[in-house]
Amino acid sequence: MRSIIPLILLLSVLLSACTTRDNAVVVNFSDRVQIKNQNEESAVVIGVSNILSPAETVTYYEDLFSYLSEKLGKKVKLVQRSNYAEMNELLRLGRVDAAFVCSRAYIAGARQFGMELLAVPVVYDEGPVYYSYIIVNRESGIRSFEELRGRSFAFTDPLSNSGELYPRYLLAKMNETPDTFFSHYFYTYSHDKSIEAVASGIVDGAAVDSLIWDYKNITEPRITSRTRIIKVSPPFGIPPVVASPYSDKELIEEIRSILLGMHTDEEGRRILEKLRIKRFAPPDNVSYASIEEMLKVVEGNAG
Amino acid sequence: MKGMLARVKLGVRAKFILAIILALLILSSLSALIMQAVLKEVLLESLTRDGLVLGENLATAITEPLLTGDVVSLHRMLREFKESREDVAYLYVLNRDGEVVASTFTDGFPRGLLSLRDGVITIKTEKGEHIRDLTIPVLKGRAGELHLGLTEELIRARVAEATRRLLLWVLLLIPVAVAVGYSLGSFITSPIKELEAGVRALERGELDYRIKLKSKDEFALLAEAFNSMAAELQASMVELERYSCSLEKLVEERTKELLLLQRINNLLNSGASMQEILNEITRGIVEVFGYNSCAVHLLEDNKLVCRSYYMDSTLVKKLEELTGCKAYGYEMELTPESPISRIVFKKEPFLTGDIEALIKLHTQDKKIKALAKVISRLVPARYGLGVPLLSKNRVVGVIGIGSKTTLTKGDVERLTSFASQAGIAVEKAMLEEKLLEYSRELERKVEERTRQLLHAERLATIGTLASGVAHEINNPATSILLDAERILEENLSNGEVREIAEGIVKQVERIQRITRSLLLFSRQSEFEPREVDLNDIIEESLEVLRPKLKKVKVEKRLKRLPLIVGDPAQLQQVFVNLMLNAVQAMPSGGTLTIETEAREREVIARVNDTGVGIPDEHLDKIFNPFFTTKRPSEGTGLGLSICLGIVERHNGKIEVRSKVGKGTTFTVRLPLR
Repeated sequence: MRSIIPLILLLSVLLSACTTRDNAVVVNFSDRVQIKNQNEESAVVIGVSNILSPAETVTYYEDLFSYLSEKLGKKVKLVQRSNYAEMNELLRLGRVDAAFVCSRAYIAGARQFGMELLAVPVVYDEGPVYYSYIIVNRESGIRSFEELRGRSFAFTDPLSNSGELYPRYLLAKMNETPDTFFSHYFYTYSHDKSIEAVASGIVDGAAVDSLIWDYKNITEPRITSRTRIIKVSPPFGIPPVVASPYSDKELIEEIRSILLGMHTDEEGRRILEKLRIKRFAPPDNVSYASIEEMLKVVEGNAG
Repeated sequence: MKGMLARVKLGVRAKFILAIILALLILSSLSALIMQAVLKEVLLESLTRDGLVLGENLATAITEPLLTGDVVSLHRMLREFKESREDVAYLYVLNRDGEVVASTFTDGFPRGLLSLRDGVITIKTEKGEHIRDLTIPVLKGRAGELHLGLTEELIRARVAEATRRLLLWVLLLIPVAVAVGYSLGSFITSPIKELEAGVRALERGELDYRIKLKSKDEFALLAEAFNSMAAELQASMVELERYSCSLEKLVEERTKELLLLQRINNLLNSGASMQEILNEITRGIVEVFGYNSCAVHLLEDNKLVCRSYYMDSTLVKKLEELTGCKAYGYEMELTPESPISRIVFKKEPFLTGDIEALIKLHTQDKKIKALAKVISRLVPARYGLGVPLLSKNRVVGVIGIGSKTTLTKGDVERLTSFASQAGIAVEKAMLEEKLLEYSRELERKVEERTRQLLHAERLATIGTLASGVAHEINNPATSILLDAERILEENLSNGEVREIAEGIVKQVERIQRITRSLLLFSRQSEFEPREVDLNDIIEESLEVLRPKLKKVKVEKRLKRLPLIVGDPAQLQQVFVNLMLNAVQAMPSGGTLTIETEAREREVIARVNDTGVGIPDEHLDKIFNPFFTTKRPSEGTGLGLSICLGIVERHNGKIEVRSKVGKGTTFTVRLPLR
């Protein structure tokens, strides 16, 4: 009987050790403050249109942006929007200083509000060009664009060149429209999503940016290996880096010179290599004529 | 019985009830506390886990709106999430710069949350509510982080409810506990009462009282133990009674043994002979110990000799009639492997089941074997026991007994202890016997010496007398001889006269020989000792006797001898005499052997012949003066007497051994210095 007493004492000590572990942080919930999202005036805002999905974009551009921030000596804010049009709108309003946009979006912006070319990346040996790949699921057995008739198809963005304009152009030349040619179609709003949609068999075919497919082919061959390129477009002017007509010209020049000189310093070269960009070039040699040509055909067909 | 139990202050039953209630209360409160703690811990843990999983999903979902600045979607998603779960207190999203992008707070943002650390944190509100704040990174923190506030109040309320129910159950259980305690108490006390009754019965002396076994639990074991205890007690009482009986018997036996020992001692003191004492021992052992036979063997010259044997007197007589020999007196050789030897050499008792075989094993004597057979027929004593007869730890003999019945360790101990007592008496008797014998020997020696002295004196007297007589006779004898020789020379032609004269000459020469011997004999006192080699003396003696040794073969076995002190002329006389006697004992030839050898303190010379020998009845007379078996012309009867005189004068001894028809050996022993 007596031996129970120390046992009880022991247990109560143990229990008290369990229960008194209340190291809570006291927060008074009635004490509120108003949150103001102050746009830092000092920050440089650079937009990235949704060529890649937003999460991929963050990963892809992370190093480049910190490189820019370091070189500029300012905070650089990455701004994304869910479609090309919105990004164009931000440029039009001068809410972003510069942006990575699609070739076709640039054509639209240049037409609408005088969007300015800042620099172009050089990826392929052919120069500042890229291509549109028509891809199908490897298992599907489809060998040509024509065989996609009556099948489903994924476009990327209504303002995309490689992901929308080129296949539309192909259809226009066949006197077809997406409605007449495909059983159904939709927009994925980024090229990586289109590749995934084809790879996973959600859709029969898609038109994608060659830069993205090639990049993915290296970083995630698991996905691209399940797709097959059935058609490669002629070369188009590569998606450029643009500036808003309202941007601080000095800042723009500064950004331009950083980009153009990137491949000359080691850190810059490392980042470019990772992005599979040979270098940034001045936009002198880039030509978007072929895209404008296609636009005419498509708009004519549509009209 | 009732009175006894009434004296108990707090009964087993009450103790049981109290103990059960106490245990119940302690256990239930402890388990309530533990349960409360554990339950809370587990539920909060699960809440956190669920929150983290759900938060991860939400974080994935809000990645795009967060990155593309779609604040409206963000707000909508947070709101929808909060509404989907009642335990969500709040949600808010920080962008990668740590700015609040969206939250479920409508009217401003709580200041305290702005400074919150990352991870899982418990927050206590001003109202005392507990909230768990979980931080979930969005796109690994690249896009920002989601904070999820989960209220702990629901869980705390549930835990409190569970504890309350448990305590309610405990209260309900108390009456049950009382009932269980009561019946358990009764269950336990009833066997105790039975046990008590049993103990009382034993106290009253009812040793055959046994408790009936009802169950098969510990009480049954206890009851069994009680029963076996009672049984043992009963057995012990019986044993005790028997033991006291046997003790009485034992005392009686011991007394008899002591009386026997006393009797033996009395005999010893009253000067009884050893045989009487041994007979008393054997008889006593048979009568007092109740065996069938007993024998005492004494250790004599490494042999066990049976010195006393006892059976029924009629049986002994019958035995002696049947075997024609005494039951005792036979000897047993002690060989190392024999069991009897073990008794003697290792002082171990020896027990056998076949006494006859044992006796046969120890003897080749047909008489004894026959004896053993007869004994075993007369007394079917199959079992035998031998113990050492010890005196001060020295074995003086063996006591052996035979028994019709099996012999036990008790017999061995009894007889061993008796033997060690009796051994002392036997040894005393033996010593006394020896002492007696020794004194007799002494007496005999004194007598002998006296006789020798008388003899010597007589010799001296005779010597003196004879010397005087010899002188007196020698002169006239010489005259007679001269006259006779003249007569002979003058009357050579007269046959009759010549014959007479020759007879006179012969007889006178004989007279002269006798007188010369007498003179030699009387010259004994002239003793001229010097260092001599006995071998030389023997050689010279042989030389002197050479003419008389023609008929016999002489063998000399002379060994190197140390010098002794002696009179060479007298010693030569001794050996000439002995050798002459030897030659005369071999009239038809034979071998004369002369040996010498050196011993530690003496030199020995033996003169041996292969002659006619000396009859036993003459052996003790041959050294007497004038004793002779020879014809008068051959000896005077003084030779050996003179020899003895000379040898004794040299402190030596002369011994004779003879066998008629075989020969005689004289041994002369002369001491070294």
